[in-house]
Amino acid sequence: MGVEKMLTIEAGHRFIDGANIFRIDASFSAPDTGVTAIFGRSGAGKTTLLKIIAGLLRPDFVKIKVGNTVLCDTQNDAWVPPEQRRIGYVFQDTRLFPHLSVKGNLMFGRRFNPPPHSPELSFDAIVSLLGLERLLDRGIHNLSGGEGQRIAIGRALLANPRLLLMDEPLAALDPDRKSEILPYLEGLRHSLDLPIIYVSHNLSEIRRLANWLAVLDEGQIKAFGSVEEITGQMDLSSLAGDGDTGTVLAATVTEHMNTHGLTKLSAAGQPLLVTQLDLPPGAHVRVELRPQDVSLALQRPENISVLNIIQGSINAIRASPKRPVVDIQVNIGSSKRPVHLWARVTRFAAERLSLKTGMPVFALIKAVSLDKDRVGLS
Amino acid sequence: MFGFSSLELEALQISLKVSLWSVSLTLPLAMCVAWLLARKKFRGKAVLNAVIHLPLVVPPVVIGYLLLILLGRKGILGSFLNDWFDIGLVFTWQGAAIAASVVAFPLFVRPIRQALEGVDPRLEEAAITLGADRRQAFLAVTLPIVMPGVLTGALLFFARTLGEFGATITFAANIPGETQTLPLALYAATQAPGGDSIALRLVFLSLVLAMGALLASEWLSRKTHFKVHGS
Repeated sequence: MGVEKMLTIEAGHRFIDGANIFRIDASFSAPDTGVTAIFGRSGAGKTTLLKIIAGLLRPDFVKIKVGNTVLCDTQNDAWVPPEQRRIGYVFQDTRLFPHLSVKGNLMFGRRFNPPPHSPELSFDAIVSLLGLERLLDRGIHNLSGGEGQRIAIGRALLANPRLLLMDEPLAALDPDRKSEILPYLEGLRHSLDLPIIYVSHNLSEIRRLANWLAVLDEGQIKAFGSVEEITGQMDLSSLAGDGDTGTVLAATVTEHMNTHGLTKLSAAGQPLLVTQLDLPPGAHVRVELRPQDVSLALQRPENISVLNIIQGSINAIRASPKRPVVDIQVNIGSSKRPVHLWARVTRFAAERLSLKTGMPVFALIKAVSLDKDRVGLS
Repeated sequence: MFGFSSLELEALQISLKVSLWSVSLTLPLAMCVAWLLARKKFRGKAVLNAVIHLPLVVPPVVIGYLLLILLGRKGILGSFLNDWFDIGLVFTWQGAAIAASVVAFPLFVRPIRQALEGVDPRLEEAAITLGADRRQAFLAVTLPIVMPGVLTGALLFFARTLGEFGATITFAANIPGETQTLPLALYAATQAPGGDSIALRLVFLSLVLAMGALLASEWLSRKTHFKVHGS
């Protein structure tokens, strides 16, 4: 790997609000390319952490380093004011300027910042990356939520940031608008050489977009690592609040089965069939597996419509007497290089099969459940 | 000109001079006070708010008399200004402008304050993350958004200063060619025997001026409102 440039965030602060004390104490260090997600339930301190990074809050202690640039280090009295940090901030509520046109909003940061070096951040490139061509001359009053959010992202990018913060940019949107924006966000990740910190309490978004994941709970970083690692290891459902445990599998496109409309991937050395992708063989993809899409069998079933039957062994079982379902972690890799996925079955089924840790099982995944919404470029 | 006497035209000229100077000199102060009241929490905010609104409920003569006590030749501030800077405000058109400004001040502050309260302060936060410092964020974001409120305030204030009578006659007196504005000239005409035709012409001038100001402001605020709110 050599010497990699890192993005370092360290922050500590005590907020006293009457009798309540909220303590934030978070530090992590991620490679300064790609998307680092900060995940946690609401009230975990995610937005507070972003505001500290942007300099909108001045905490007791903070150190922020992007690549080789120290933006603040309270121990050494270094403090770059927020307007000089060049940290882009995409707010959940867009905060577009009502007196300016779409173009005026996009150009707002230009006059305060040095022009970008790379052509990827030119006005035309950003406008086409975010699909804003037809909106430029409009006012911002009759935009859809998705359009507003794309403009807010463009506005932040055109200010030539060295780091982009995104605070739940999809949270206020309905599912249709979400799936309209997600491809743009994926495009951003691929075409820009810009570290992004992406705050969300939605695991599905994180699995699709992020490379790195920091789990924040009550102001503390509980875990940090690659998305594959953390989602395979931890049960994040208690934090997600929506019962959403899920896994991201790293996979490679091996071949297309055009006559059947399927694409064959290789994940953890095992073949995985998904609905046809528009990607060349060799492309690295990530597959988002929802636990409810994974079934378990003790023998390899025959004469069954499910195309993906993957051998593995039970690594852990998460059950609670209050819940009618059981989450089962299956290792489909080797013992040396484990690859984990989660399956959700009813407690009744788990008892009938007498599932136990260490048992060999077959994980069944329908190819139709793995469509374009679940598989994306990594 | 158009049958107006030089005295009447002079009154019109003094009225315009007094009101326009009042608007331009009071504007920055009104902005500051409106901003303080809309955005800041501080001790004595309620008192400041009450003091500013006092001229709305107190008879203008009282304001004029208070100004005499404060800024008169023997007044607390006035004697200081007189002794050190040789500035006398009583019986001058500048004094008339001060009297009119104090009386009309709440009308200037209120619409700006309401407009400022309608602007999400987080928009300035967004501007700061885009590289603007606090001053630039205010000038580039908040100020253009509150512009309709500023114009409304300026017009109300302008119209009120045009009509100011009680405080002006108390503090600056009714001196033709110096402090005699249109309302004061009208008052003088009604007191003089045979002044009816003069009074009518002054009434006509006052109405034209007021209508012109109203129409101009309506047009301006519609233009800026459309730009800001899009409808």
